[in-house]
Amino acid sequence: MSTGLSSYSNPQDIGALYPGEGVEWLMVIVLFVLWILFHIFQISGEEKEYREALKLYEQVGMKRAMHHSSGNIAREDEVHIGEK
Amino acid sequence: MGDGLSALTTIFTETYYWITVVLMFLIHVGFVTYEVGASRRKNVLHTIMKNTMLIPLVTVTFYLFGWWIYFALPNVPFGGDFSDAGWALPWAAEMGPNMTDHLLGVFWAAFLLFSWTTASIVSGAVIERIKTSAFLVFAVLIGSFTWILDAAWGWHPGGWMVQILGYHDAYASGVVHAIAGGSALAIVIVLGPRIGKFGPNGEVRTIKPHNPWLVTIGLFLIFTGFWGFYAACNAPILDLSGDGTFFSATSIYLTPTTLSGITLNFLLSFSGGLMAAYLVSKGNPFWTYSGGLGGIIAASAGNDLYHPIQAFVIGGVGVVFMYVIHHWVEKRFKIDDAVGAIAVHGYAGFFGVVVAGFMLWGYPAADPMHGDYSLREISIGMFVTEGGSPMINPLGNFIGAIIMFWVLGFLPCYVVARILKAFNMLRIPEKVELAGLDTHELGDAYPYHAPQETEFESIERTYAKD
Repeated sequence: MSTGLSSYSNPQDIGALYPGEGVEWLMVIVLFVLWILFHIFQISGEEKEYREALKLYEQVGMKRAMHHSSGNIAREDEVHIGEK
Repeated sequence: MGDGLSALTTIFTETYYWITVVLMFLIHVGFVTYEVGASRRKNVLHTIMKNTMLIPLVTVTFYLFGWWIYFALPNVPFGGDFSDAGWALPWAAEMGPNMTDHLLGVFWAAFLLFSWTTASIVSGAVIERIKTSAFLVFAVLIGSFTWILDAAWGWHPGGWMVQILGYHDAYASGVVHAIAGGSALAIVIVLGPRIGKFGPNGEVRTIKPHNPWLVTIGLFLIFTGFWGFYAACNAPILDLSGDGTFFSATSIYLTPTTLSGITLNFLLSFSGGLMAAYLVSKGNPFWTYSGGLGGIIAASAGNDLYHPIQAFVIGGVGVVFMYVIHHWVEKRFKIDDAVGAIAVHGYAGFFGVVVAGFMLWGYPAADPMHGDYSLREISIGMFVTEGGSPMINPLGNFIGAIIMFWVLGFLPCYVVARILKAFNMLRIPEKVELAGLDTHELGDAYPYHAPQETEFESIERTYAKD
């Protein structure tokens, strides 16, 4: 079983080192699809985030929302470590 | 250095490793920055010192015996006897400025920086409650003994894991990261969580970093220093033809690669990690930045050979794996890893080693070394290529991942942690933890800024008893 090269005995004759030489076109398609999917998921996630923010500000009121020095009036888990 | 070409390649190599050492210093600037950002205000100065003091200690112990281990123990216990490495002993003439050798010092320094890194990974997981003395014992154990032993076995081209198992781990997914993650897991299990981290019903409470964007800047510095790490894992220029007609960079196993190729793979695996972490954590800055690092670590085992798009996918998948496992372990076992080090290094590193065994199945792990490798003679052909080289394979890499994470990572640190705990040398006193490590002596790190009590601190007060 070999995914690519099985010998380095003539290094001057080696071209591509990576496994899957010959199916680069498939890998490029995969990368392209993942790139587009990232945008789709990111846009959808961001829109949801803003909808939830607006709901929260309707509940607490804009005066409280804009009082930054109180720190924790919005969600407790805004920027944190270890949990989400 | 008999001729001009030889002199050029020698001095080039010497300069190359020197530059990688300077770049790798940034990893440690990053570690201190991100740990300090992650800790609470009352622990900042103590945290800096805990992390910083591993540097001189590991330097001294690596000089005394760590370097010798790498060259003396590749064959022990499964491939033969101790190798002759007298020139790596601290009293050898070669271990100081010496006109017969231009490479030992810079090569030693590159490995020293790997040693600092392995020990420093553990530092973040245990902040705010470990005694500095205990951490420094672990730093010596991990930085100058267990990691360099795993490097002798799994990185040295003649190491028994390479020759017998076909273990391949070019940029240290297992050799540095999985072993550090396993070590950290053992220590935090025995150490216990920070006071108040878990509620009465097992709910996970958030302990906020005192400066979250300093945490991300610290991680960004680690990314920068990581370039030096990758370059230092290569040999920059070797004559692969044997007759002076073909020169190339090689991996640590002396197998062909190029600096250009690993640059592509570093960047694509980094990007895959960042993008996957951003999506899975819903844009959490700490986890997104951690994902960049996790992506590189997940692909590191095979980044000398992967196609960049393979590195991208492996980086992304590895990060999702580490994120899911981290949160499951945290909830299920009440493990308090303050900075996600076990996930980023341990789980991503383990994943990376296992994946490389499949992706690179059939590739030569290294040139065959002469010696008494009787286990190879009873192999079923799974571990040897047609040309007689040890062969990369899924089983060998899986066994290797177990050795890195559990045998050399988890086990020694678990034993030492239990001993330290038995002598009350592991954890700081409860009242010191509640009041803060800086409170009694070093004082407030931000004396001109009025403190604000967070919700967690209000909960923490309920644990204080006079």
